[in-house]
Amino acid sequence: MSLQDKYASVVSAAQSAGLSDLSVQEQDGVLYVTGKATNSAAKDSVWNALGAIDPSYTATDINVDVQVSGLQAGATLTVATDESNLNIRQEPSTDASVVGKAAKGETVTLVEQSSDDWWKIKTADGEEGYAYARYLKA
Amino acid sequence: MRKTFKIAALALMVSMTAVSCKKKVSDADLTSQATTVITSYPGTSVEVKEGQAHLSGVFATEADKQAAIAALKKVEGVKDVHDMATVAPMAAPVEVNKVDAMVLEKVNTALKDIPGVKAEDMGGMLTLTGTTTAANARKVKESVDALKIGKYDNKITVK
Repeated sequence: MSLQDKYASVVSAAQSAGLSDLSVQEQDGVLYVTGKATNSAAKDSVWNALGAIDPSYTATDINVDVQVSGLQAGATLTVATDESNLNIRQEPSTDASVVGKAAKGETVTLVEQSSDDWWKIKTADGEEGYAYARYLKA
Repeated sequence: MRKTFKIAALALMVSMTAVSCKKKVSDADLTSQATTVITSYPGTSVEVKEGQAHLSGVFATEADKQAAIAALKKVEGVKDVHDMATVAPMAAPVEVNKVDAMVLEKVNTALKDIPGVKAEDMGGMLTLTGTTTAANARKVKESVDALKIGKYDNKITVK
């Protein structure tokens, strides 16, 4: 069975999620599903489809690179930490000093999607800095 | 006069019989046969006009296109195949990143909030070990897949 067949439901989820620049390519035993999502729900739908096939999320014959991108400055984001506060840092690094914190469920404003993993945000109190994108829902 | 009429009637009969004996397959029938022949190539179509098959659409590979043309030529009644089809451009290969210090640092940042999972560079192969929840394993995979490092060794056990 080809990887395209094995992960057909992931590919179809990616197609129905309305991703831009979607590409599905098999290369050296890995199926690469790459695309850009306009919001977190679209990204999650692809990952949920993968979870239905690989509930432990440990498969390495599929590479899902779906990033939420193209968000406008000023977009509203929700802090989606497990429990703790989200650190807002001076620089996009966990070594940088913490300049602010945002609580789980709090709404913050996007300043800039600096990279896939670090976004610059601003809290309602005016604290501005970089947060790890995993904990922000768009 | 009577004889002439008889001959004329006979001639008419003969000519009609001759026409029906020709058994010419219609273009519509040929088109439907030809279409069946190329059903395994999505995105392509064929139309037969006066026995000439006109093949159009986009084939995945040149080999597929040539195979379709050869198959169409075998359809009885198709005199020739006009190739108006194209071949899809080859997708650029996925750029796979090497596991280096920068990649490892990004992976370690991604693992900071996920206790019990460790990443190591085992001779160029990223190796993940440890035990965690499925939700955390998903976070790890989301971060590692974003780095596009090709095949890696995921030994994470999900409890």
